[in-house]
Amino acid sequence: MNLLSTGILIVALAAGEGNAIKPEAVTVSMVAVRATIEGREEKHFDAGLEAIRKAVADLPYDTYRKVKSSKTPAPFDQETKIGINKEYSLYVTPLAKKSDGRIRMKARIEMQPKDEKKKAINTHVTTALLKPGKKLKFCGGMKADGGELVVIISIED
Amino acid sequence: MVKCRWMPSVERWFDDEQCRQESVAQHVAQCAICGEYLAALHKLRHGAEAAAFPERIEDTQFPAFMDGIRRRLEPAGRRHGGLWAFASVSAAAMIAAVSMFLVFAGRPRDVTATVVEEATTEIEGATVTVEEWYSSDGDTATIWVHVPEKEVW
Repeated sequence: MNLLSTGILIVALAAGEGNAIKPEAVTVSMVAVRATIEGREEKHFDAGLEAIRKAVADLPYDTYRKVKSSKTPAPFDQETKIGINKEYSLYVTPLAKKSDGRIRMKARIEMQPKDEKKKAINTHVTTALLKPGKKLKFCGGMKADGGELVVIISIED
Repeated sequence: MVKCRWMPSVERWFDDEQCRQESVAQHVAQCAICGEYLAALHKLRHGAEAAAFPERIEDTQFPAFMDGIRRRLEPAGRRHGGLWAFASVSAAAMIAAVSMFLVFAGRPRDVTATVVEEATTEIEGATVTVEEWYSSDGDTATIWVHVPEKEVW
């Protein structure tokens, strides 16, 4: 009897670990900023960027100008395009929801070269387990009007 | 107290033990110390006999006496040994199961964190690093693309 219940417990615990659920869609929150170093004593954030102040505290820039912010529903197993500006676009593909609430998601940022003859390239390609409410940011490799483009994404709770 | 070497013999004689009774009696008659010692022994014996009091249960005490006996004869309350044994075996099985699970499953991962499983770039010559930044509102993972000085686009 005890051995049986022990076995059931082990199987149940093991089964629960790898379980992945797939809801219809998640809402992806995206904030894109142009970050520059202008020699300010205090960091400057454009209006509406307060939510990312702590998330970018480790970056070396002192000025953050808003490029775009959006909240976009992204269905599972489908690539959803979230435009940033003329040059850059974010593409997200939610893959699965883990039993601990995290979302496994593919994300890439595509850059359209100024020379139309050249092929678009992905500046960032990633697969990540995103905890809803926690932020993931993409830095480096993205020029934007004399500054650096920084893209911060999170999944809404 | 003044002592006489015959005193142990006097004690044995007093207790009717086997000893040289005639010679002890003769000595006691002549020795004042042993005579006094013998008298003291007699006094002690009489005192002890007088103090001896046989225990008796009076009629008025008898019901209470019997009640005490009856209480001790009553069957002890039912013990739940079987239940406790089952509970302890179940607890041991549970501990063993959890231990086995932890051993086979490894250390539980920090589920509060965002984990970057892979990160790459198509920018030629660029490298990618993944950093985690811990702030008061929680951790933020960062994917950094490091581009060489030369413009590649």
